[in-house]
Amino acid sequence: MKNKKFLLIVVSVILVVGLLLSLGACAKAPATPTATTPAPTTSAKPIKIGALIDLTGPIADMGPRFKEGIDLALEQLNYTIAGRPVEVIFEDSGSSPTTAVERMKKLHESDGVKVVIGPLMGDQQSAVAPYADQQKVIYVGYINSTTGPVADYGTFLAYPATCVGQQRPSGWYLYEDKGYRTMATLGSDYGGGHEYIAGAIYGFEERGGTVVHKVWAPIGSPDFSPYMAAMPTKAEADVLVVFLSSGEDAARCLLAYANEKAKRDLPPVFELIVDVFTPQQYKDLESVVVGMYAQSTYLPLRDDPVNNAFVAAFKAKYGQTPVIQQNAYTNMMVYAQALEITGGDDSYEAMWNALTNRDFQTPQGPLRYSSTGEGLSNTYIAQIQKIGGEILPVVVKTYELATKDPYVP
Amino acid sequence: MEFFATNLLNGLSFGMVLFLIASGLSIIIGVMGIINLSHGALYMFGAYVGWTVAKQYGLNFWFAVLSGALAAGLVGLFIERGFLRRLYKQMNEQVLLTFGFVYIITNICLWVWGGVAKVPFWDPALSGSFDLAGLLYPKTRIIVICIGVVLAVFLWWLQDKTRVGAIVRAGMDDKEMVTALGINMGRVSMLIFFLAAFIAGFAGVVGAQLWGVYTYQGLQTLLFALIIIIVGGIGSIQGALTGALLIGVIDAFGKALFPDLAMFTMYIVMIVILIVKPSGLLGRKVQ
Repeated sequence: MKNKKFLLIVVSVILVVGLLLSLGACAKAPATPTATTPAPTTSAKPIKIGALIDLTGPIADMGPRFKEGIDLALEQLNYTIAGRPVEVIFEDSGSSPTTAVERMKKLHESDGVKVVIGPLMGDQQSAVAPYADQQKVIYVGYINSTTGPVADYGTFLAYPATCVGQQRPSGWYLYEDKGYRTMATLGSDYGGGHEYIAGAIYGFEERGGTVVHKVWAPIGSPDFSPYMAAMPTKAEADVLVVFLSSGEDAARCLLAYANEKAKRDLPPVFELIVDVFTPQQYKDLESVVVGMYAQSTYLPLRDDPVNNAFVAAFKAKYGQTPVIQQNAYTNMMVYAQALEITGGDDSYEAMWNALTNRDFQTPQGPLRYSSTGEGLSNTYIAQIQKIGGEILPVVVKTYELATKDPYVP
Repeated sequence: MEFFATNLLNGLSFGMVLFLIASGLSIIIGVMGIINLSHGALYMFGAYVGWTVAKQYGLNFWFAVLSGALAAGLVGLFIERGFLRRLYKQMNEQVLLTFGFVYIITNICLWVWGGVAKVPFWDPALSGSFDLAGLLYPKTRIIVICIGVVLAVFLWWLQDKTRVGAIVRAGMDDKEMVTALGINMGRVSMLIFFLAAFIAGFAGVVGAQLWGVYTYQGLQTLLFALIIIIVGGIGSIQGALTGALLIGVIDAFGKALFPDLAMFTMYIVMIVILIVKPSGLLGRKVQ
């Protein structure tokens, strides 16, 4: 009897392990969060840079993509900046403000880091702001930031702009180019979500538009159908502006939108930060997203020498077209350029002077940080199109260096 | 009228997924007295296996449902046979162990499938909408409702109309007496745990039609399951169904009419039930 039970356990274990191994052989394993150690070129003390990425929690799909961008940058730098080896220490901020603060403290106090890439979410950025400001740790966002850390503290770089500043031109576009006069909105209910929507509304209203319906959905909402059931029709709102913090939330939302649109004449969707989608998610959502207009911080198809070189290098390394990976790549490269200027001095004073009031050419386009750390960059309006088997955003309008946040002095 | 009908169906379909998640957990708690916190993780694991079969290998969706259910069932069996049966009546240790498995299973899923979420997927034959007396409604959601009804009837039949069900119900009330009658409750427990885990994995792939698959589903669906059980009552299939549909419908109408309260609609129902009837709407008292 005991032997039978033991056999049952062994067989079960073997089946499960075998199943996992066979699935693992087919699935692509994500990058693991380790310190990226450079090939030593000199005996000089390494420059340490921290990177807060989300590898767990509701936005866990973003972390591995940012790491891809940073790894490519390190490879192109040959793991050396200003003649010194560079070491990037990755920490999982866990989609949580509390965890972000803990990891930031660990990077600075245990690892001696003075410049950090990340965190991503606006609530995380606000959470780490007091500590970073007190300890003079420079940190930069991956995809925009809430206004608070820029306006109230002095060590944060809002790349490529604040949320409000980034989306203000979206409001202009919807009013001036598309001719819309009324707007409905659906946004993720967190700091960044509120400010992205607020930016689009600001630009729309300053041109004369009106917001008629506003909805906030908790992050990770499993079902968007009820929100869509209550959405105004085209007769009541000219456009539905959507921002959701992750690809899976946005996917569920757009699928619910498509289902509801089959019944009622809903207004067209304008998606803010369409970069949340991966190329695979675009393909899976083809019937829903192709033809949709959206705002994007980065368009891989934009024809520009710096961008073309980056896209080619990324495709050669990873076999796919980059999207938000560009943001992390640019952050790493901008830090590298600043460190070259300072001769490897990563102190706050030297780095802040090297980073601000200086023009950087990035795959996304021109970038400039003001004295307060506010990023000024291009905003792109795109249409999702199917080109040669790939589904990607294609630029239809560029707003050059137009991301000034009206709430930042 | 269309608004009411749409949200009612939205609530029923959402509620049916909640029922699929909660039914298995309710049975385990009722029969074995084990609060299996890894139930949500089993749901997620089944969903990932189903995604691999249906999307990565391009096989039949319903084969993917079966594969996901079987995979979750085997993992559940491994947890029960390898660990839980050694912790009989040690509730604290059971809770800690099963919560540990949440992290183990979640990290295995993260390692195997990565952090990028899988968008909802379904049988291609279910694309589009049914015309329900002039109301166009997605086929996938109607199918989810039908599957939930069939499972509820099956579990009710199993529980109330079969000898196995009688043994299970007797075991819920007095395990020692049932054992004294010569029934191997250890084997019954093993089968029940496998069935519950199987249902969790089944629910994962069926639910993926609406929710997709992502790595924090393990904890999110566990929370949903616990809320349903609190509302519906422990160890009762009818309770789980009633609780799930009640919450689903209230959540749907709540989000549509009062979106500012979207974060709280589920919990408001739970709080009211805890105050008015702490054992749940149709709960059984666990010995």
